[in-house]
Amino acid sequence: MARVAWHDARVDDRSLVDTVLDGDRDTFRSLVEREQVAVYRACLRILGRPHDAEDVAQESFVMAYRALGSYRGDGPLGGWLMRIATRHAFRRLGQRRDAAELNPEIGLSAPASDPLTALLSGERERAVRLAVAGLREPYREVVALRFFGELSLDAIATATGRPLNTVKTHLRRGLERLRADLGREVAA
Amino acid sequence: MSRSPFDPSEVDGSLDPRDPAVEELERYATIASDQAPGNLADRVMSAVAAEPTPRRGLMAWLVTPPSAGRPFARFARVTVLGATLVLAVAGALYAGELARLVRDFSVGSTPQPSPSITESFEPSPSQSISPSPSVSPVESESESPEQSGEPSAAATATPRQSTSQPSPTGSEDESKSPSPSQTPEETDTPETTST
Repeated sequence: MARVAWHDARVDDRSLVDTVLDGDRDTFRSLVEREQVAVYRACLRILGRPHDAEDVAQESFVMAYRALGSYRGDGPLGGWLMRIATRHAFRRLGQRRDAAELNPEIGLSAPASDPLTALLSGERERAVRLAVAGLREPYREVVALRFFGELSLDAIATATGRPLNTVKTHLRRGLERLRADLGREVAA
Repeated sequence: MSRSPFDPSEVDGSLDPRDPAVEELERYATIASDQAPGNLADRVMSAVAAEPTPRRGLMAWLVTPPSAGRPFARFARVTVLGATLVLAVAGALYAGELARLVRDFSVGSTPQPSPSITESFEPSPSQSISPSPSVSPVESESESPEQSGEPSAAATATPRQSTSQPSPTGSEDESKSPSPSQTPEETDTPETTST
């Protein structure tokens, strides 16, 4: 897995966090620069809007900074951060769905020449987002961390503190439910 | 950063390689793979600048191994762990001693109300006497069917008189006479049990 190798090649996260806790904010900046792409992408995949994703990613980093003292270092910092970000993004998505959405969903894919194709693509993306968001916990978290956060199952198991086999079971069941929900959306 | 596509074998091969949900999620993840905006780190750091330096959580500080270049970290952790253990043991001992004192105090104060309880129970054995004669009417029913419908104390009194008179003669009456004669003895027994 590319993401796992990417994490293993890094300096020990625990010592980096200790440096930040000692007051070195430049180290935190390097951590942000290291993780921002993955965190932003996960937020974008959950929320579907670049501006919202940027806001939520920024807020997630600030939340992580405040809670950095509770990081125990038993797994990569990226997984810990990703969990904070996906939770925050789903929370923001729930608030957004509670409010009236005046703007139609715009697809994230490249703008098509045919407006109808662009509209259908946007609807399909929205169906995937809503289907994942509609999953119950813990299935939603595992599916989001694997497909939107691109964490390995080992990293998810470490970040969530669950056994690897439990994570696999949650992912399998989440995909089963997602298959049914997506089939229903397509049929509608 | 390169994408890491999902492999169905990650779930122990029990998943269909062409699962439609997986395909849909992978397609969507490929589309939504924009790069983060260039100023995100600046925005984060400007927001963090107003924040105080985060403090170490106690549990995280105790659980995590000390990093290199911190010679006193291990000593500090061992000291804190030892102090916590000593405090826990002292607290448990103190709680046990406190519980013993409370128990002793409660035991010393109970003898005063206990006699009043025994006095209040004294009338109750006199009430328990009445069920014991109620057994005797069952035997008196065999003798005189007329008294069978009355399980009152008056009915119980009549067999005693009838049994006391023919006791030297009738063998059947003798066999039944001991039971009323034993009833006063049964009345004595509740008094002993009450004390």
